[in-house]
Amino acid sequence: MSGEKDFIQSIEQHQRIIHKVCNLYMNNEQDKKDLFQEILLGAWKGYGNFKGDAKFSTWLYRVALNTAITFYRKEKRQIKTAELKEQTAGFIDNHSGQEEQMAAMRGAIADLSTIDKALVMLYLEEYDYNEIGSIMGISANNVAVKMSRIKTKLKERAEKYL
Amino acid sequence: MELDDFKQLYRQTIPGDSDTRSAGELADCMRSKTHSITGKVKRSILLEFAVAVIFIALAVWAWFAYPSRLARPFAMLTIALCCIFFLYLGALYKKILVYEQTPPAVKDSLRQVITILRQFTRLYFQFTMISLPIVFIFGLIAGYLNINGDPGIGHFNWFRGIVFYTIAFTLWCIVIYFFTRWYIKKLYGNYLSQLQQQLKDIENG
Repeated sequence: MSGEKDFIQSIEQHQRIIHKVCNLYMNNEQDKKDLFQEILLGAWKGYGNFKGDAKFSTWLYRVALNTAITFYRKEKRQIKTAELKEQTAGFIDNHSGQEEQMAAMRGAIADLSTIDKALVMLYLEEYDYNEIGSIMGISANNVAVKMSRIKTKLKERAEKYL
Repeated sequence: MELDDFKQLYRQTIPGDSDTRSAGELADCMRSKTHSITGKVKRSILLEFAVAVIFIALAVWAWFAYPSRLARPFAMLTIALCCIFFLYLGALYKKILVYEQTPPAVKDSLRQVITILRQFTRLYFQFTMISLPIVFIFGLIAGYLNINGDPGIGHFNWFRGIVFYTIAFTLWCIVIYFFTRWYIKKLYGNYLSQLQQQLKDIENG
């Protein structure tokens, strides 16, 4: 049982990572709870083989993103992009300046593809391109190319929200 | 605003810990049932195992209940096919366990989930189709044994009987073929397309 205890202790310290991934990929509260549970179960199944050659947080990001990207859910519970745009536009109407720009950027990130969202999340968490590449399974050069495209895309899209 | 400007602000305004769960809540969460795709496929495999066991039991029963020359090869064929089915399903089950226990990088994870799903759906389809000729032969044998063993049935036109049976069975096979394809597509079709699109996204560029 000490394995389970260690695991829960590590998760307790790093659960913010799981919440971030859930918030990035799910809009519905029930979906967030379901995804949280799946990530936790996925991490527990793989914990026995976690050798500590990577940081626990990096390993947890890998498990969480894998689970979120391959998460199987009923279509009807997903909030459509149009609804998200409306929510973002509503927020922007009621706020100004920096908050407005932040909301516009959040809206633009929400519009990205599943894979691009994962790259942006890791980038915001200050992982370098080598680490992002190792989590995503691509080369650092490939990450750099993708990030450059994403940055351009986000700038254009965020401007459209304003 | 550029992403790098956003990053600076994002780092300063990381949301609070309103969602934080206690150790007890996390432990409870770990004991709940998984809804992941690999968990779903694993449950389906276990169900297929159970069905294969029932088929083997029925074949053994037929072996003793119909000690005729016709029934026994059928029983043996059924048992042999179920054993092959067991082996394939077992290998797939093991592959899923390995995948779950050693989480790979996102690209490899996508590849593995796609492979697992493709293998499972192919296996499901192939064995459904293979079971059709077995059911056809079994129906033929059962019909022959019942008609032959029933003194109440007078002259029976075997030619017309077999032609009727074959036509009816062929129509049934066509229905099963399209139904199985539709069912598999309904269950995993859209999901597989999404995963393939994601793999394409990660591989490009």
